[in-house]
Amino acid sequence: MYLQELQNVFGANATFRDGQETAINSILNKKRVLVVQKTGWGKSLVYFLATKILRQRGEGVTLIISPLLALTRNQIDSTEKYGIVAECINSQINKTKEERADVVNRCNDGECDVLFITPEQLQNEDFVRLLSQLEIGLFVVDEAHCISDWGHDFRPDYRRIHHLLEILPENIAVLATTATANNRVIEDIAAQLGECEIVRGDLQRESLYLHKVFLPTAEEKYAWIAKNLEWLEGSGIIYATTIKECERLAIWLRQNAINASAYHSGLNEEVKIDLENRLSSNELRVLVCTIALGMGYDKEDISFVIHYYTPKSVVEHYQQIGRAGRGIDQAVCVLLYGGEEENKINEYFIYNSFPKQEHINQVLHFLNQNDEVKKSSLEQEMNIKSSTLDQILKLLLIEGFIGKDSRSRYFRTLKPYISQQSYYNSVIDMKVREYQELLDFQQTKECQMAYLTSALDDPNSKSCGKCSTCLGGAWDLTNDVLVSDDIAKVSQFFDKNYILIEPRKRSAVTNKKLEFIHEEGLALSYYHEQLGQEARRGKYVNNKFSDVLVNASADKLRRFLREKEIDIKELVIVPIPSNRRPKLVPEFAERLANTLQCKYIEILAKRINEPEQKSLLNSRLQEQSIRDHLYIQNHVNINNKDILLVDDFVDSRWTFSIATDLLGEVYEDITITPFALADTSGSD
Amino acid sequence: MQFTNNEIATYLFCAQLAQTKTTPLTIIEWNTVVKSLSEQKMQPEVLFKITPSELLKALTKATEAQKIKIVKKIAARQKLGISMLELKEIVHQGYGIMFRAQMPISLKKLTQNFIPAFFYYVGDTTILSHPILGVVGARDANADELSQTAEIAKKAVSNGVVIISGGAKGVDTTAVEASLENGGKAIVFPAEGLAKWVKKSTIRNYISNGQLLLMSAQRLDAPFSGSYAMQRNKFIHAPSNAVLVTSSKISGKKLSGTWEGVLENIKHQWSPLFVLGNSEGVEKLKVDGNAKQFSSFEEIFKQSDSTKMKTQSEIDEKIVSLVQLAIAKGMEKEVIEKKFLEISAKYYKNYEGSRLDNQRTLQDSLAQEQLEMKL
Repeated sequence: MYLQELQNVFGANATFRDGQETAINSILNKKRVLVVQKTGWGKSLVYFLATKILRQRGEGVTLIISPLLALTRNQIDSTEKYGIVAECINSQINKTKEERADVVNRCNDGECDVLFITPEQLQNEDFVRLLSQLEIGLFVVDEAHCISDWGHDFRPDYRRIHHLLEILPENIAVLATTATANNRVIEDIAAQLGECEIVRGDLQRESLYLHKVFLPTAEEKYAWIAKNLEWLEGSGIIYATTIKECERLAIWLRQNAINASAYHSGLNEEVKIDLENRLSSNELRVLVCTIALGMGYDKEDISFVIHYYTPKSVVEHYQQIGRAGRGIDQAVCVLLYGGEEENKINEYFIYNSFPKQEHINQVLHFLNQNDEVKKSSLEQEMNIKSSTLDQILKLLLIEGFIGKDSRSRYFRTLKPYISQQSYYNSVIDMKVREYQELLDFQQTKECQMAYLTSALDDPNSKSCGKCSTCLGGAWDLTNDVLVSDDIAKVSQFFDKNYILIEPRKRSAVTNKKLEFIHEEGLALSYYHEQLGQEARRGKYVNNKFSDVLVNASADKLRRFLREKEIDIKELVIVPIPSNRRPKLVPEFAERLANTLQCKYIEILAKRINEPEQKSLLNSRLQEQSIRDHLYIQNHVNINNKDILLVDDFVDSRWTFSIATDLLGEVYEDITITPFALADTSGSD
Repeated sequence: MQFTNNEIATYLFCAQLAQTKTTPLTIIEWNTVVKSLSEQKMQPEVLFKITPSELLKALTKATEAQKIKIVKKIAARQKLGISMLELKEIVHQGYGIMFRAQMPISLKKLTQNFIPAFFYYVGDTTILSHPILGVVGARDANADELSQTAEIAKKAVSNGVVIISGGAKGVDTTAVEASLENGGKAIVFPAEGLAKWVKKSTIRNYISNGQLLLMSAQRLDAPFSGSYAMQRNKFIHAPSNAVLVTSSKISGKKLSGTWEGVLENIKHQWSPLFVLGNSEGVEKLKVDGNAKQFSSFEEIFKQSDSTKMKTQSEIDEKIVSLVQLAIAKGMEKEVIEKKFLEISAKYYKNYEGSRLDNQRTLQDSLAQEQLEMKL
């Protein structure tokens, strides 16, 4: 039917792949189509060729919503081949309002045929207003599994797509595409599309060589990665869970002479794009990233994807390994698993996906009673963690229970509130099941590819003959034998690698800069690591910190202070007081001072009835509470001294920052360095 | 709230949609389109796909000048489907859209040329089918006029009468607040978009209690507009069973909104007028015999009951004459009864069906609607 058009582009011998022509035909008849096909099947051919024919018929442009950050060079090239013009609007290329309006005008004037935008942009009201001027004929949702998972993964960006699908007039064709979807997801997307045709093929990727290794400790995982990055060829991606883990892994790799960088949501857009480009151009060999690495990141020759942690679902896992081996014949995907810690982290994420009903009610009640409210007043009024409050506001906005005006003030809408708790619970149950599926994958004796594709309900799922399960002893793409020396190197690295305590710079109460700020401080460990757990036992079980902790602290501090050019002989250790456990920290600090052979002075004290710091959930309340209770009791002269403030755990950093503020006001020419046994931030 | 293709088409071509930088059809243009399409057994949804030349041919009820404008306006919006996100999100936040087919009889007293293609609303729309007292008057009414207004609004509550007003300061607000505070119901057609009203927590409470209905033909975030304020007068006068004029100037060089609304009512005979106080407008209305002193709810609403009776007896007479005609033509009693049931059943099926089974029957109901509006 459209073979002629195809051959005009690809030459006289070109033929359609299974399903492509059906999809194009439906689009041209203004039907809605869902394409579930693996990477490489040719989804872009469907929308580019359909666009070409639609444009010849005088229809509007094709709008493609894709998580791609930047339109890649090869995509622009491929549209040239079709004789159509593609453009994109993103924060890099066309920043100003005028430049963006210009793109829309070019589309409406027939100078551009395909417009790429990201889902995030649909969140911006100004941008949606601009898009309202765009004349379109075809609406494409790339990576459409995200519109199913919006509740799942909290992607408010996809809310607008969901709304658009419900309201787009029938003269606009709709195409949704994905390479990763099980039956549940397909049903969900199809329900959102309404009446639609589903074009579905098998998912098995011939170029992927799957492998999994049981490595229960961080040390073993680090050692395996260093060893195998020497072994593996080409460039690739390592997935880790937390920002801190990404950064530590990247440091470890660089120390092993591997050109690696961390990539996560803590970086700004420009830095992220720069990192993507550097990986694309092979300037970088490895990106160690969280799930923040854009779904649309597309590099042809990714030759390995390593999971430092187990993803939360088969869909997520398949999506991530799917980035490998797109344009090459062989890519290795390895899941490193084992260790209690990894399950705890994943379960924490799963069970805390949604805020507590009690907190939601608090926010709603307050908004009900008021007209328009700024976020800062909400923070002041209620004891809710700032990130939880953000999450609540986001959810309520998505669900239409509240609105937000152009001045960022929130207000209650007229939509009657119905508790979403049972929905949240069903999502959590589903997540638990999906995570279990991946835990089962760790243990499976089946072909790994067959396990994944059948979990994705691929009707043609079959053994791949190339994964480490299929090959057994013949698997030689990785080297899994670790010797004690490999592990010792990692232990040394962990030991030397500092967990830094950065100072707070601005008051959350007054929003003014703090007068005195402390030096970069040090935490001995992360809470979930061995030393961190030793500290937990000390605090909650034995009411005394062990000698192991004293000695480990002294070792690490000696090196750290030397590097900071602080003379230990001149150092004064000052403990952070506590009325709840008055002896715990001072006794430890004094032993530490004895070991380091420096001075020890108790200067600070706390007024009674201080609420437990961890019961205060946002910065404003935390800072205020410390200011209300901490004071200088013992006015000893410590002018011109280097002070080491010692506490057991550090989380919000307000205690250290306010103690510094108090001391700095009274004493002259002092430096203050905080030290804590464990960094508990991010754990609960 | 799910929308039919016809409703989406209505919104796409008639809503303000300022963000699209295009112009909506006027009420009169829209009527012309609907009438022309319905004559050819087509519905508004064809407008998504119709080509300019097809449309030119289809616009049988339009003048030449209208044709050009309509074709241009429709072509400019046809492919702007993305802009319909607005409609979806309005509803997502709890607003409603009342298209003509859903408008109650009381609003249909307005002639077709005055009725917008849809209203935005929030609140319980059944309030519109209660007995209604319109209250109009100046922003700067004196204390005495205001306290009398409040007193009457309070009495309205115990008489089961709802207040309808324009939501302006002074008389409008006094009447509505007196009704709401005493557990009564009210309808407000504000001169600005509804968004600003809904942000107030007291307003939201009255709405969620089912006491207050807000309606507007303007986009939700519209600022106050003098011309819309004038236009909305008719939405207050027309659905009312009676209108109370509490204080009014007479339009001179500067137009008085209250006075203009009253004159329109007199011209179209939408509802009987009653007055209180002795402002210049009120005095003139009395002198000219266009309004009576406000007496009591019993008297005023009885009067409108008698109008109802009159309508009833008119219809009875018409049916009788039809039956006589049928007998004269030699039809049997059973046949006549059966016919009557059939025809009325078919009518109601089509009428109600327009919402449920939007595809086939909407056209009939649109045609009927046109007829009704001509009455």
